[in-house]
Amino acid sequence: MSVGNLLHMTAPLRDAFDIPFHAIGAASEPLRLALVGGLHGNELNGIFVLGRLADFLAEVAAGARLPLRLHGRVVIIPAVNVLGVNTGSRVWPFDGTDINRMFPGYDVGETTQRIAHAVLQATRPSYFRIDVHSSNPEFEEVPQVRLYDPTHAERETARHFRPPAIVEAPTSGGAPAAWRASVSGPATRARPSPSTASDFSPRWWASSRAPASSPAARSPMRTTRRTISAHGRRSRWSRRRRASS
Amino acid sequence: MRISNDDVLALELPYRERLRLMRTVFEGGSGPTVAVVAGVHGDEIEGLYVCHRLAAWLERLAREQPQALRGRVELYPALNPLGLDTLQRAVPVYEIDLNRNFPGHPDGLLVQRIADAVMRSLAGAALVVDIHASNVFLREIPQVRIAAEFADGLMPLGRGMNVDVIWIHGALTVLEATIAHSLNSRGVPCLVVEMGVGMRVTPALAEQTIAGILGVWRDLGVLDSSVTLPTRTRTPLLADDSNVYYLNAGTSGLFVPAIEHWTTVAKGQLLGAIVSPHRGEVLSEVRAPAGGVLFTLREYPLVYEGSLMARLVATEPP
Repeated sequence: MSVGNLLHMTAPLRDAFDIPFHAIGAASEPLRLALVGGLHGNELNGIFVLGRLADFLAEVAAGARLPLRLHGRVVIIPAVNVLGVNTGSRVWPFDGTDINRMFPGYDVGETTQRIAHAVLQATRPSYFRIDVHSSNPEFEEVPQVRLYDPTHAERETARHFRPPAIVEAPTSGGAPAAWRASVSGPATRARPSPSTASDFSPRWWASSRAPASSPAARSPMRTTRRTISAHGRRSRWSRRRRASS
Repeated sequence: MRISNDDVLALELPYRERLRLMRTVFEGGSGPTVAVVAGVHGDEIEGLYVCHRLAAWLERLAREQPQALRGRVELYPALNPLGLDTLQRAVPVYEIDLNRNFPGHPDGLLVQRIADAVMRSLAGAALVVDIHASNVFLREIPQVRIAAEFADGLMPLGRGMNVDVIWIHGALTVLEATIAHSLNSRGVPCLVVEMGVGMRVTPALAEQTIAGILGVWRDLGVLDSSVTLPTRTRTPLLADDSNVYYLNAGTSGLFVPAIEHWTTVAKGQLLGAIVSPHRGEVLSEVRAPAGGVLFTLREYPLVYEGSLMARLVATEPP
């Protein structure tokens, strides 16, 4: 396993900063899986899980977990919003922008545009792409996979998570939409945060919530969000080039 | 003329307080209805002052020439009242941008309910002017921003607005979940005005904008043609993706401009510098990429690499 840096930037006053990621598996292998966490700096579950997963997969890759073997290559970005993690902030603390609203990003633009661009570049070539979120402080989410306009292959892939619930919604912003717009391959959002207003609606929460007694591992509850309103979609132009309201 | 206040939406907050989204209505004759909305973002105050000045003007009209209001005017100075009262750009609690949640939902969260209530309230208007004040980082000369897909209908209105720039966004530039896009999509003409800077009031820019709004209201027949209005003095520059230049910071540091906002500059002219707070050195010089006019200038001095410092509309070939 090697630790790389997604991008390196100077800051006005504190130290320069970067976004570390784990690259696991031989460089000659195809990139099979990309995992992204901490697009929101106050969603700590994904950061914890992805850090542990990186350690585990590194052991697998090193042959320390036989008979498990790693086929293909894995990229793990445990925390994208590094400064947000350090300051307890969902958004990028300097300007309040939500990194998950900055995709596809812009490589010479504002900081969060650059971050989004770097995340997309690092994860776009992967066949499987998973964006791990937590809820906000008000809600605890049962583990769930959210799919946006899923293909048959994505539905099948989601079942491998064996979550209590699989939730389908017609549209999405953020990383899943950016992945969707690039190349084929399942784009999945595991245990997402309420990234949009409608994600918070009680009906959405209730409909996607598995009963406490459900045999979660065997029969994921599949629901479809119906009360969706226009949200989340925003123009490439606005994110690339526009800094004002 | 009848002047009244009512609530577009009222919601109980969890403890004791009630959130009211208030508007002021000036009812005259049976002519068209027009509206001004502001305060979508809780850190943008310029539009609130424009609403105050428009209210003062209409109240004087009610005293001196009440028959001159042939239509109906609705002022919505604070679409995000809780954000304004708490100095938060987004709608508090959920920290969600109201202007990314239109057209909203009547049974949704606070932010969606506000959007839905506002959309219902503005249905049928002949013109809605949505006033923004940039953000705390950038200062804007009064400008109208129009999505290209709505340009045919909106350009004549925009030209009457007494702004310095009309910026037409290409097809990719549409922010689909904004109030402007949602209204225009439903056939309610909506002009976005950007002016000034966040957390401030700039009276001179407000007066310029008011002259434009009143002029367009008279053009639309909301005001009688006999009414005396402040003179519209501006002929807008037309900006689009072909002639707008962005000046992004080459390095992180402290940006100190060397020129005034809304200044005509020559290609290569020094516009400012990025300096180090730690040392006496100039880290980066900022020069004009083309001859033109600076319609955006950074107000907040700290920059990261890539932070926008200025925007320029070219008035001569590069």
